Amino acid sequence: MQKAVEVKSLTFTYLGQNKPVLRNISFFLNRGELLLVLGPTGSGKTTLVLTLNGIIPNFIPGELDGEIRVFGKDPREEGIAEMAKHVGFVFQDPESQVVAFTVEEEVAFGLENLLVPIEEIEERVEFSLKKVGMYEKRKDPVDSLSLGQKQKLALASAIALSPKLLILDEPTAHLDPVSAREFYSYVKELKEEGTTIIVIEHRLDYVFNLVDRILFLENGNVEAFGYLNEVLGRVGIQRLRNAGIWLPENLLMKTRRKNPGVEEIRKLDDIVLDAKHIGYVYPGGNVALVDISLKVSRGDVTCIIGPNGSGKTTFLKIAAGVMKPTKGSIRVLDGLPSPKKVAFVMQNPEHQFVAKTVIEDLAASFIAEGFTRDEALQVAEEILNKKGLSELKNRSLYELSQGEKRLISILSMAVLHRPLVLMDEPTFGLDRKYSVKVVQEIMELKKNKVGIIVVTHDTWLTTLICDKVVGFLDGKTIFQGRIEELLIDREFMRLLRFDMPPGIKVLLDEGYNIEEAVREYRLRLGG
Amino acid sequence: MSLYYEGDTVLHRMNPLFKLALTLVAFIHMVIFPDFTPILIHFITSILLLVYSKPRIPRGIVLGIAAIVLGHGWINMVLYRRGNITIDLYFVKLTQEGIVLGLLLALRVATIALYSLTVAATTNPRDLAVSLTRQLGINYRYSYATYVTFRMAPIVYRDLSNILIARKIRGYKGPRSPIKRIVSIFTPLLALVVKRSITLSLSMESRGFGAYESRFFFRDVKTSRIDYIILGAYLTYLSIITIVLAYLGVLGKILYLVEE
Repeated sequence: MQKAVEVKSLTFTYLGQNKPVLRNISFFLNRGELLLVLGPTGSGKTTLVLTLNGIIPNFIPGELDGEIRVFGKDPREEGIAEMAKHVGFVFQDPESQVVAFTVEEEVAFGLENLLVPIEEIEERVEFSLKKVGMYEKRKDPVDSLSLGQKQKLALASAIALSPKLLILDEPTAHLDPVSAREFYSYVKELKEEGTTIIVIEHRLDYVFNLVDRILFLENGNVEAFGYLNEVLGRVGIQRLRNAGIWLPENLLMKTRRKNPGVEEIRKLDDIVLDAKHIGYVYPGGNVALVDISLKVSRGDVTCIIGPNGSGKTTFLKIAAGVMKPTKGSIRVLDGLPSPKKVAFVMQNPEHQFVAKTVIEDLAASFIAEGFTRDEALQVAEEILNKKGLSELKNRSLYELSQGEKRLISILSMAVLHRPLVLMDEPTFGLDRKYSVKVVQEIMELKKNKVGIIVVTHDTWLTTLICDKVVGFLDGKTIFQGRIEELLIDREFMRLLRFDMPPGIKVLLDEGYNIEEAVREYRLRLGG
Repeated sequence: MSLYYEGDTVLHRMNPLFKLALTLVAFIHMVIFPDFTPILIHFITSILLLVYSKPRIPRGIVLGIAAIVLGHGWINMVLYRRGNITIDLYFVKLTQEGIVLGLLLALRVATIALYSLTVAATTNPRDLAVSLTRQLGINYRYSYATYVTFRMAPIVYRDLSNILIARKIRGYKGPRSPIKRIVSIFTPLLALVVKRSITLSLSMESRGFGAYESRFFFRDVKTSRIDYIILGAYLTYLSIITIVLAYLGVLGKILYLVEE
């Protein structure tokens, strides 16, 4: 039988570069199978999948050698338009891949381009939106959708083209746990209906049960290719972890760690933030916050969880003193919130950059505190050395990997020595290696008795580091308590779209009670 | 930024090109009859149209327009040197002619802004792109470029606002030179725009955008009888206004050609 995808000795070098990004890649995929492409950041995963629909080299130029066949067609010869009829794509960032203003226009976009008759477009739009449960939202503006809904919309837009091959490039990196699970339930359905699928993912919990084959890339080379168990056996769990891959927690829970991962909680009564009944209405009339109350103590990590659009980021901006609440009162230390009282690690590291190189950017924080330029550069260098990041010193900020950018963005805020640090999705889009480093930085801040608020969708992070969990829903605080209290309350978890981490499930199945399970989880995962 | 909000007014239902044509007619009329009374009539008309279209305009846009209008009027008042000094504010001396000119220019800029806001608030950028292609025959690749720019604008605005917040928190004031300061803000913004644009163009290309010389439009934008009726009504309205003002002797100069 003809294979769905067949790649032989594929080598690719981007135009203007000397070093190939892909070297002698060979693999295949049968019809109806799901291939998981794994590898550290920069290993060539996205480049590889872009060769399968002809984007490379037809749209992104470069030197491409070797043989590619997708359902018997060579994407280089067929061109992007022809391949678009067979290969559907969903990218990582739900915001940037949306073209249209309304839901149905977005789904119709590809069909219009491919000159599908209008009556058929109507049918396919209806079919695709029903498939992902969004038909009732077909007239809605795309901007009114949550990130999870936008990603489902991206999937519907790909499905509308009736692709034989569906490529998903880290599709759930921006999604809350429940949205991620829902997303993969649709992927499962498509697989069962016979669609061939290629998935790039760092986090394997949701996709692991669907995988037929794995392709493990490192530095543009195939390190392993084969069935799931073969590859796991050949490469080994530790090597995959070193490559930054989040293995399913039920695999990790099988290994007991000796070293304690996270310090036990130390309660301090020193309140750094006290918010009472905060409300916020945007100038256009959109209500972001209705009634938010919470306190943060020094040395405590408070995690704010909740669905997209529940007001988490708006609250951080109010706590930072850059937006004034329209209702309620908020105190940071002994007074009103002010940008000078907090550090704010933003979701997108680029938002924080003020200089060209790493050392200059870090030094800018000290210059703002009154240091001379030379003094600031010297202190910045010492900090980079201490953190083991001295090799990044003179690198351009914009050339760094996403993980490196994140670390620098945390450092540039941490050196401000503010009593309250706000973090908006600090681990989003990061592989395991850099997520661990981010956790280490948070724990160091905690040790220094800084009050920390972390807005996160990551269930593992919430379970691992949070002293207190605050749940936001529709602009209200609906839950406040310890993670253990949340994990035993299914109703709150459902409302907050928070999934129990698979590792906790495994431990509960092993007979641990919830308190023991969380403690054990922290020991095993933290190690 | 896209100011468009869904609505059910006649202006929302009109073909975007007809709305642009009406606006152009108004602007030409204001150029031909630049005196106070015709401009005041346009100002009132533009306010009524904007109120009718029930827009939701962000405060920042309103403040920005107000600053431009007032700044433009004030600069012209101050710079006008002819005539006797009516107000002496020590550093600034204003003449009666200068004050009148400043007010007139401010009124004109405000009117242009209000007409433009009405068009922006009632026009779906997609419909504009479609009508540019369908009615004017502009290649869809170019008309979609306009559309995508509108689509990206709110995201870019959000990025810019976050960049400014981060700087405030870091206490970073930026280089002393205004140009270098702007560059230091726009460098990270540009990096993000490039990153987002790459994803957007990959998303468009992978769905066959630009693959063929033409494309279908799932929701077509056509011209209807209402477009012609409104265009006709507006031209009639302007003609009547012009005749009445001329009859009353307040139409004023024509194209500045007739010197008093």
